[in-house]
Amino acid sequence: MSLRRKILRLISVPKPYQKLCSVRYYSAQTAAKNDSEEKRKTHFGFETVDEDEKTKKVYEVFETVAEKYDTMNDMMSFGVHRIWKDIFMMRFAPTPGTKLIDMAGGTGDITFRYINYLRNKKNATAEKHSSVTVCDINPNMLNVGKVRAEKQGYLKDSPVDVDWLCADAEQLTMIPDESYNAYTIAFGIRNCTHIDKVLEEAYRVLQPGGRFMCLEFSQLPNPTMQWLYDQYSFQLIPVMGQLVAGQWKPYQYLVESIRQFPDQEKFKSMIEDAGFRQVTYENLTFGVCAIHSGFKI
Amino acid sequence: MPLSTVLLSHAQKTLRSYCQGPTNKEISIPTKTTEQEEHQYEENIKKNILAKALDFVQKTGWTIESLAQGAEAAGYPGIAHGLFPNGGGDLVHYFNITCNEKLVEQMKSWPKEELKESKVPAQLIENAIMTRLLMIEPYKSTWPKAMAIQALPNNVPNCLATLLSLVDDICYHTGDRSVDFNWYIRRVGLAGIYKASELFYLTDSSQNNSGTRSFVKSRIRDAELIQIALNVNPVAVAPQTLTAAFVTAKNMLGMNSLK
Repeated sequence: MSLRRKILRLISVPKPYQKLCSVRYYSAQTAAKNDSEEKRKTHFGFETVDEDEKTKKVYEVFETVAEKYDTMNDMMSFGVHRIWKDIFMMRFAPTPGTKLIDMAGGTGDITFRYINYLRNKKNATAEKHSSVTVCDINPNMLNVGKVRAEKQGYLKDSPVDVDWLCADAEQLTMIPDESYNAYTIAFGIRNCTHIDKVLEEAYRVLQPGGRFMCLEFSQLPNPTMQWLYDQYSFQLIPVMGQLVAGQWKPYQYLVESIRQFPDQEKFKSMIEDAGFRQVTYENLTFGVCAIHSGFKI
Repeated sequence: MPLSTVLLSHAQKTLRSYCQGPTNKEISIPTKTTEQEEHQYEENIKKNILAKALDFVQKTGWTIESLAQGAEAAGYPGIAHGLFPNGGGDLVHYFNITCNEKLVEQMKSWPKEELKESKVPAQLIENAIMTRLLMIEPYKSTWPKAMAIQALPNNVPNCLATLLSLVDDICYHTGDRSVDFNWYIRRVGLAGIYKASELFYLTDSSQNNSGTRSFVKSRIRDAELIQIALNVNPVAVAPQTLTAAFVTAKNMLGMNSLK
């Protein structure tokens, strides 16, 4: 921290970073204030907005980035996001008979890995039937996924049934209780207004013994690494967004929302509070990402 | 971050009661006992799945598939195999633990006459090792793989722990009450004998495993000899040792006069 402050004094501080600092240092006071007066407010990146507004704004963000989503992911993470997702699927290790709901999985990254995993398993087709419901709040993202699935041949003679569903993770009213046995959400829960409601719904739609798995950006335990990562996020990512996708704001939001998301331990206890047991997490790339896993038992 | 604190503390109670159902009402009192109960509950479910998974080992080996089938047999979806992040390693570990427990139960009821004599209770030790080895019998064809799994770096600590508890139990129940350096020698020695016998047993096709039995017997005898050698006062045997060394040196130099 002290190193960070010194360097900050030396260099002229760009605007986004000033915002970061103020939020970091005064977070305790904001918490107290929020407690009493601003219950209906939430954060959108570092802005404070009405709860309804956040849903709308997040929707707009993904509406604008949907097409360039994959290119940008590759650019920003140097392709490492593919490895994160591969590791995620390895830890998940689906077995034939899995009924998966892939929440916030519009572009199908997790779903396609899931299908591949089951395809590569010997005599998977002969045994029980597996299925996946790709669910996203944003039809634009779902469309990207549908087109890709068609193009890459995931729908033809696949051992897995694929459904597409446009729904809000906080209110899965159309899904009856205990209708899935696995719930994954990769890089999605951060954008939800009420994380606790999402977890609650996840718990509800899972059968006993079902698994909840979440891949999400997290905090780096090492302060030096966190500083480096902050520099990269705030100085470079929005610029890349502007250059490649022609959008500054969505990527500004992206890095800010990552800072707003609870750290590994906090999120773990949130999952436990939703009723999940045997909750564990694993850091990827020094904690840039974390895989959280919990069971409904 | 601050806002999620608000949400959490606000929603905690309702979430708990909603999610846990009526069976776990005590959960809202955060005492130590409930935490233990929670832990016990999770452990019981895991043990149940592992026990069921053992039935499938003969077919699908010490793998995630067996765990998945075990989970299904216990009434959970196959995906619950994720409860065991070490996969087959956890299954092998569970099997070792249950076998060790079974062995201790049996050994408690064994006659203790041999212990009254002052010599090493070789027969008892041999019986203990054989009993434990024969527990592998149903899984003999898949056991080499289990041994390989145990040798994987992330499973080594568990494997050593179960081995130590096994030899410790055998030593204790065959009358070892030493508190000196012998404590280590006996346990390390016995662990060596057990692991060597295990390897021998895998390729033993003799009737009633008589080959393994005689192997165990001779290894125990070896150990006894070593023990005797170690217990001998080094000063008293110094002349003998020197003579032996001298003779060996002479032999190596080709100066053996006895020829």
